[in-house]
This record gives sequence, C-alpha cells and structure tokens, in this order.
Amino acid sequence: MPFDLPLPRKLKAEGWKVKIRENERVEPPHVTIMHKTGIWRLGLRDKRLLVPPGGRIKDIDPAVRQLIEEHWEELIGAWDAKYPENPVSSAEEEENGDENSA
Amino acid sequence: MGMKTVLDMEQRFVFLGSQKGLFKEPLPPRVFICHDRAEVEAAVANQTKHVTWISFTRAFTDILLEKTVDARADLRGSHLITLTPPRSESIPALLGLFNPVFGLGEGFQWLPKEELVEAITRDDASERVIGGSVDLKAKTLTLLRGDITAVVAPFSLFAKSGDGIEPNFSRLGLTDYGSTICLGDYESSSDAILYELDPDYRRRLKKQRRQSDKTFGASLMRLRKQRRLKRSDFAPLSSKEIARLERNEIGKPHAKTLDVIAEKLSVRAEEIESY
Repeated sequence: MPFDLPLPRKLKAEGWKVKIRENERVEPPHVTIMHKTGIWRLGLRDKRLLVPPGGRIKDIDPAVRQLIEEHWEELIGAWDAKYPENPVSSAEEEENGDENSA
Repeated sequence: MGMKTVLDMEQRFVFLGSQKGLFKEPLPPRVFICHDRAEVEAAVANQTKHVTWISFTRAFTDILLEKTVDARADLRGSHLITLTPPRSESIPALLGLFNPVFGLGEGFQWLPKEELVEAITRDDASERVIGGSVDLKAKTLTLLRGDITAVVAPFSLFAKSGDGIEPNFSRLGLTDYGSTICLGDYESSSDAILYELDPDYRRRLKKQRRQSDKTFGASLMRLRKQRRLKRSDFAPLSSKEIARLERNEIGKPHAKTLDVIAEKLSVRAEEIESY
C-alpha cells in the first residue's frame, strides 16, 4: 500500500494527493504530489522539485505544502521503509549541513 | 447542442456515445463527440486518417463499423479503442478496418472514463497509461499509453517494496489520470515503467533535465560550489535566502541582492546565469 499523506477532506475533494508508491523511479528519493493531471516530484534530500516534470512550488496549494512540511520526517521514514537500498540520508548532504551551520 | 459539430474535421479524437457531463465545456481543441447514429455517419464520412476513435458502448462500436463499411471509408491508420468489448463476431472486421484496436478482450482495464478523457487529450498523453491487461501465463503486463502505443512489461519490473508490499497481478487498476498503475495494494508510477522500457522516454527526460539546469538557481549553485563557498558566506544575505534562490523559489532577485552575490562570487551580476 503506498504511503498516502492524510489530507483534510477539502484538499482531497479538490483532488490533491501526496504519495510514495511501491515502485517509483528511485533516484533521487522524492514524494509525488498530484492534483488531478498535475504532478510534482519533491526531492526528499533537498526539497527541490525534480525535473522532469519540474513545475513551480507556488503552484502547490499552500495547505498541502504546509502539511508536507509538518510531516517531513514521516515522509522520509516512509521512503526509507520502501526503498531501504536507497535511503534519503545516503547522499552527500553538503547542502543541509551548510544550512544547519548557518 | 452547444458542442462542436462533427463537421469540424480538425479534431483528432472522436468519442462515440459518451455520457452526459463527462466532457467539460469548452472541449479541448482536438476533440469532438458523436451522440447519435447521424453524427457517427457524418464523422466517418469526413474523417481522414490518424484519428483516434473511442467507443464507450458496444452499440456505438456497431454503428461505427456499419457506417465505415457503408461509406467504404479508408480509416487505415486510425486507432480504435473500445471501452466495452465489442461483439466477438465484429472483431475480425474491426481489425481489418482500424489499426491498432485496443479493448477487444474482457480482461482489459481502463482508467475511469472522466480521467481517460483528460489523459488522452493532453500533450503529455504518451507519458500516461490509459489501459492495460495482464497475461498471468506469460507473466507480462501490457500497458496502453495515451498516444495509443503499447509497452509490454515483465512482472519482474514490479519488485517487492522494502516494507513488504508485493504486486497482485490479478488486480490491475489504473488511477491518477494515468500516472499510477495499481496491482492490488501495490502501486507503481507509470513513469518508473516507461523509464525502464522506452529509450525515447529516457532521452526526453534527460533533455528536460539539461534544460532545467539553465535556471538562475542552478547556475548560482554551480558557481558557488566552484568558488568553494558555503551558503552562509553571503552575508548580509542569509543562507536560507541563498537556498531559496538556488531552488528557484524566488523569482529574479533584486539588483542589490544580485550585487552582493556577484561580489562574493567574484563575477559580474549578469554573468551568473552563464555558469
């Protein structure tokens, strides 16, 4: 069963979904955000939108973004559980280390 | 009726016998709909090759067959999708008149109709899966893409996930406007399958990735790394601001911001994007 971030009824009714499926294109680790035909892949290592499909963060409903932010560790845990051979923490994390040091 | 008429022959998708409310107005530019026998007749008479016919019901497939034969229409090169399997006696004729034909068997699974209509008429239709069927004996899954090409995936592409979820090939379903393939509780992105099976798809992805690297944010990050600078080396700008710029979360930075960054990077501001 995919990891499906629980969303409030209103967002669900609007067609928003936040998923980590069993079979993703694995590199880099990411969570898939969907809104009807719209798809964004948000990298779990650097919080960037992956290309393809790319897109703009601001096109994602702020309430969805907020929920993702709040459940970030849970999303990382879900990815690591599904893809233990390619965990989020396995990449060189110069960027995060850099931000943390600020 | 407010819909586009069958005389508008610039359309590429002809839906036969669709339910009311399935199509939102205005219709996509390459779509038109036949609601009755007369409209099918007109469509057949006017259509040229390279049209995708999508029949929602067996009755409309029969009408299409009848009118095509009556008109002696040459529809070779036209695709046919039958969302409800046609009568078995009509199958040889359909195969003789259209190429390819999908949905002839009972086991074919389709996207929900409203999602199929959206997925098939989009520019990125080739990246979406609109239908599929499973061959348990040959251990293969045939997936029909929105551009009416098929890929055949071996079961081995659907590996058990780390948390122990295994695909159940007896329970094929499609969802998320063609971007997800469901095998029981197991879900696969269509993108993962196409990436494995379609070299053209892989080439397109690579090209898109290269193009995305041309953004200001990507250039800034490349240059910063080349200069061996940390994000925290851009005072008075914060490392978070630099991170947001690198992620392209901020549009074009203000001139003053740009000057600070350029000075730290020892380049002219207008040069940053060239890296």
